[in-house]
Amino acid sequence: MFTKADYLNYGCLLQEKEQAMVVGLQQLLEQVTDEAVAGQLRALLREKQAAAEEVIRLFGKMFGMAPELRRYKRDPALGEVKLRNLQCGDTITCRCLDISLGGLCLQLSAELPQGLLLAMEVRFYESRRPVVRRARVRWCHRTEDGQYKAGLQFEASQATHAGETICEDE
Amino acid sequence: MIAKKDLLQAVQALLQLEDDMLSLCQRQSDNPAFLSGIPLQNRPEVHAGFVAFLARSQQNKQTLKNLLGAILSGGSDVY
Repeated sequence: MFTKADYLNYGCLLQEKEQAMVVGLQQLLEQVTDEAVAGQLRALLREKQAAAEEVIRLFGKMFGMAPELRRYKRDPALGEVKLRNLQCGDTITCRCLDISLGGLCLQLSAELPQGLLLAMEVRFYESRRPVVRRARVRWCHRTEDGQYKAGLQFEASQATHAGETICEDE
Repeated sequence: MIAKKDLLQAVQALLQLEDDMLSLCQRQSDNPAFLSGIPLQNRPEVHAGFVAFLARSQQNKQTLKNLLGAILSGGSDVY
């Protein structure tokens, strides 16, 4: 049985490759002056940009998550997240409210400084196998209920961190 | 402007990426368990999406191969 963790890992891998293609084509287009070659590269770039969006759409379907989920006032949670500050080693546990191939939204009791790099382990309620990733805090703000909401962006080359443990006692 | 050998190298790298992507997709679409964790009502759409994705990827691979061939046989040293 495939789990959400499997789909997330798979989707991220596909998305990374599609993005690498998009970046590679954009860089090449900046240098190529031959119109015939540039035309073919531009067509490929359009195709790749559409493919990258298609991966995100398919990922949403795999997860069974409605894109509108984030509009709900009372946030449903997808799972539990353990975060480890890579600088000082402190760990905290929080809830995952929303996830995409680029990152995730968390609900937590403490504020996270913008730019902070964290190791994290996501345990979806419906999966046993955790997803281990590194992510950077993009934004964090206090909500009406006194909690905090934070948006984290996954760091590139996630595969290199697979198997990383968040808590040493685990 | 880019030198022919650099352009060939760059297109070759793109071709490799497309190949990686194809084998990733192929491996999963050949795996009967792949759809097992997806909500039942979403399975046909996800399956169809992957079949289409795979076909597009194969088409892109061919486009890159054709481009590579055209550059290789082209007379110009810079593009």
